[in-house]
Amino acid sequence: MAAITSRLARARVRLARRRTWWLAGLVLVALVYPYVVRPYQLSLAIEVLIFAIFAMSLDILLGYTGLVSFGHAAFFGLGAYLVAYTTLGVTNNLLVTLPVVVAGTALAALVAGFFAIRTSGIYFLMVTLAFAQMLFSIAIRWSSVTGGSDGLSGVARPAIGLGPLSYTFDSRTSFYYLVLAFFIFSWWFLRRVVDSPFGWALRGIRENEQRMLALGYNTFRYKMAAFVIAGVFAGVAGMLLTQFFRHAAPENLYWTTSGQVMIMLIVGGTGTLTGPVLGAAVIRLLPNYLSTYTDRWQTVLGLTFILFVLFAPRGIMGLWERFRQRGENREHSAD
Amino acid sequence: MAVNNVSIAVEAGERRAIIGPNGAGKTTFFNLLSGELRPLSGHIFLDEREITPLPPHQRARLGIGRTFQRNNLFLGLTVYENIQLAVQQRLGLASRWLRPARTFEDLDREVVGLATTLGLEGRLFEPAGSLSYGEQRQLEIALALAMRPRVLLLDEPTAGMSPAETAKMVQMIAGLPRDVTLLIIEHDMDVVFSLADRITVLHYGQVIADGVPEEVKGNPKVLEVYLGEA
Repeated sequence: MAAITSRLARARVRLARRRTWWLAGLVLVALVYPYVVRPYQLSLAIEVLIFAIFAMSLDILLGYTGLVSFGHAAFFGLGAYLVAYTTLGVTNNLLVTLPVVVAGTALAALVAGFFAIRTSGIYFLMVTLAFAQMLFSIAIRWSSVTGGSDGLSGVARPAIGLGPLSYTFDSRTSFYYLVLAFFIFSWWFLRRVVDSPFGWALRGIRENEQRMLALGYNTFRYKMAAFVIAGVFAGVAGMLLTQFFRHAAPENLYWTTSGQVMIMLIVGGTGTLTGPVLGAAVIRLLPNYLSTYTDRWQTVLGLTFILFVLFAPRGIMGLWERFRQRGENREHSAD
Repeated sequence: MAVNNVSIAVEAGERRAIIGPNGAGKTTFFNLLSGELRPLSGHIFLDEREITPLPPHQRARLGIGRTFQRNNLFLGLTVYENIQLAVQQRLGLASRWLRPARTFEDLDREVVGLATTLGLEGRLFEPAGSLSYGEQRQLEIALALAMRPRVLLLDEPTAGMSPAETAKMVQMIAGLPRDVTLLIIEHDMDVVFSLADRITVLHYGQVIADGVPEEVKGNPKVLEVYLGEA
């Protein structure tokens, strides 16, 4: 027994050390990034980070719990409209807008989840899609509040502060650092959740819900919790995007947004948390890169997605795993 | 009716075998006890407490553990992770959401300990799906035992096992403490007679005999039902 636990412990230490170096390097690159790139590339980085948060949030639901939601844009868009409405009507102070977004999306997730989580599989897919489309429909029609199909514009960049001490994230660079901070926090927080006993329970539900019930787990509550966490982080992502573009649009609620984030997950690799980040980068950056070479970049993007589904269903992370396994196998056969 | 007018009383600490030909309703009976199925009529009591309206997860928390006839594991997860899910629930850690699971030392110790008890320590980090059938059966039992149940429903624990594996399994089951009440569905009569205090025989969903092994062995109705059984 001692031999196993010490082997496990050694492997963990090795992994943790390697990881720490990687992370430190990445953080460093991220911190100096605004000073070494052009403004357009900085904007792209901001978009990627925002969609990375959005994608990670869906991974909790889809990748870890196995709940395939086709309506995740509901929370993304809800966050967008909540921050737009609050900023235009009350204040752009994050100390107000952030709690509004968090509370609003959490509440919506509790209500939607209460009904949706009674279903599973294809029915869950349809119920979540319906919920998002319902919000989209409200956004289009309730023009007095939502600006109708035009959405809400003129949303000021966020500020943070109390009384006289206040800082506004007006410039692209300062907003980049704000988004980076949100991203790092989201990454850290969701990583902790996923590695916790609760996170393992989610995986258990994904793998075999009946067995989880037989072990005494109230799986409904776990699924609800996952749904709310996912919804809140999606809402925060929606908030950041709206603050970036200074505009909340009905498209933020539309099923194509739900679809886009699902594609990010599949391309990156579900159930890995890192995968969605990579997927967000690929799906946001590829069109930009491709459109300089061809008008048919959407076709290329579609083909890329199909190729992934056919040959690399576990996404980039899956390919990386396979690459690593081959490396290990070669090591072992060389002994 | 898969289970028709079945009335059974099991004493605490008893080892009760449920036998009968295929299709007699034995697994259905277990499903009624563990809550996967609701009875059309009738009541189920655990220690004088009515549990009939309770869903499976609540019955599990009251101490009803079970194994399944067909392996019902977390095939994509490792042996360690399978057992961890069972143990963390019992230890009340399952809703801890901000501390990595691996930092809970008592969890780790118990998982490794249980795996070792069942001879699975060599396969701890293999995915459950890659285990041999016998090893998977052992993991089935490990998951049920991890809950430290008061009542353990074992559904054909030795099914598909070689004589050697069967002997090991019987030894392990016999070694379980008497504060665990066992209900065992079995087809292997040697296993039944070496473990059971009492035997209940089901046929077409009804109880046709109920008593100590010697009584049941000589019961003409039972012999009739089993004549012609391979």
